[in-house]
Amino acid sequence: MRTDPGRLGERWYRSVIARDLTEEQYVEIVSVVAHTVAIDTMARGLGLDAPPLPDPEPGLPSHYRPAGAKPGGAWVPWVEPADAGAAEAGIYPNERPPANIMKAMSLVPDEVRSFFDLVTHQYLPGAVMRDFSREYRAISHAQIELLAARVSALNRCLY
Amino acid sequence: MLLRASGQTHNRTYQLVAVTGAVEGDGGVPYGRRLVMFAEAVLGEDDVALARARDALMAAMGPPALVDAAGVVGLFNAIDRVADATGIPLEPEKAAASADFRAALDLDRFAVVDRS
Repeated sequence: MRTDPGRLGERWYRSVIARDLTEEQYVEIVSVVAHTVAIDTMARGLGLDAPPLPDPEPGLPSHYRPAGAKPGGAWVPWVEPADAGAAEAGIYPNERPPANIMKAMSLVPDEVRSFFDLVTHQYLPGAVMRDFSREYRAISHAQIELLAARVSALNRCLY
Repeated sequence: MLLRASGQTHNRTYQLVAVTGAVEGDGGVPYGRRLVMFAEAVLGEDDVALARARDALMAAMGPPALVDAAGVVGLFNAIDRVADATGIPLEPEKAAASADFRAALDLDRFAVVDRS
């Protein structure tokens, strides 16, 4: 996942779930990797050292799994907006259907909240991604999307 | 897809092939070549090339642009991993809207359904 995500396949995913991890644990690991990759890659781009990991905090995992989670279009189960309970409140936008990338980690709702906080800060808030009438950053929408698409091509990621 | 949508809004045509790195110039996007070289260098392993690409981008566009560019590169390096590790498909409307340039650029070879 960290070094060569373009090689991941559903058969590999199914084998991991059958042998080693629950689906929620897998999704949480995906999120941890994604958070650290986003921050560490930005630091590399700026010529900075990767920031240190935070100290572990005491407490037990919640083992929470949304009751409305079910198989959808991905390998992992996800929560459709209509199936979201109180604990999933606010993970999806109200004004439009969520993109699949938002549903991808909905098996662990807090990871959706945390990762899309990063999305807002390192990319754009959802509400302005398609507002081409003005620019919100020091680089334009076109420059942002060129960077995003080139990175995805280098990673061999269709999505 | 949003790159093309941005161009349509402003009556500009961007060379979408730039996303494959196969364009020598800017591809119609201001400072496009410098941005692509920066993204390639960040994801690469050559620290000297990265320092050169970073300096060139900062000289051309300034420190705030460098910060934003680094943020976007970092974020999409992560989003790709979420997408590939969870096996999400393209949404039907995105698939339809991008079918032509996915075919033209042979991007469907990256589809997760072909990797099982």
